Amino acid sequence: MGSEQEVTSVEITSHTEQFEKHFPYYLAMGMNYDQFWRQDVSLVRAYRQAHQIRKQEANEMLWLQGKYFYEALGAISPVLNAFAKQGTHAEKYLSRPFPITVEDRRAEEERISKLKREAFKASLMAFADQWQHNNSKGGE
Amino acid sequence: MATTVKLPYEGTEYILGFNRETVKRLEAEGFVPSELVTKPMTYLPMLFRGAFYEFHRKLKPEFISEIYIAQRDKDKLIEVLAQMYNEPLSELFDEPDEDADEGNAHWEVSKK
Repeated sequence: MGSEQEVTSVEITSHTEQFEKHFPYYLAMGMNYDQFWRQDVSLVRAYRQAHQIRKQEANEMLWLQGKYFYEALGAISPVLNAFAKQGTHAEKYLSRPFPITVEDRRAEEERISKLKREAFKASLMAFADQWQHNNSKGGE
Repeated sequence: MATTVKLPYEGTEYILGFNRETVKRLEAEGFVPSELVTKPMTYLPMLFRGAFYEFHRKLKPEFISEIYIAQRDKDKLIEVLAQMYNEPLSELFDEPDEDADEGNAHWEVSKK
């Protein structure tokens, strides 16, 4: 008998209490009164998923912001050194944003590849000029 | 999608369902889900009546009682209605139970 009395009672709350308790959270997620109380009860699931996506996006944005900050700090760090030589300058900040979409990354890869091709072409031209110059000297 | 029951009666198809507002209204009228088992004569018709609030709020309680009395396979119907009654709450916590889509010849469960 004594053991029966020792059983911890579980407080059963009404559905209404639970709705009232959760309502502010869903309002914060962007639901309105009508959607929460009157529309399809499963709508809350979509709002929770959307909330997760928004949180993930915000997290990624903060990470990206940190990365830009890191780059900026790195660029300016030479002049922050108290023992830096006179005439030391800060490095230039990034000329363009980090590529974050697939299209951005492809465009960036294409841009770098083009720069490399042009640099190679220029070095070949320089070599050819030098060769021609040397040969013309020898011919005289 | 929320579960609903299509219930034909005298040539009209009634849709039974719950949203949070109708559950709240039913509880404000004194419905206590935990007493469904101990006081079925009081609370089963009440649960049935509450299922009409979302789509047929102007139906008279006497007419709903008439529909309730005319129902066959009440046990299964009440079981589904009890699941539907819990859905507005369970959706706040977890994924829905997809096994509640069973019906019989007189009424049919559907997603609205």
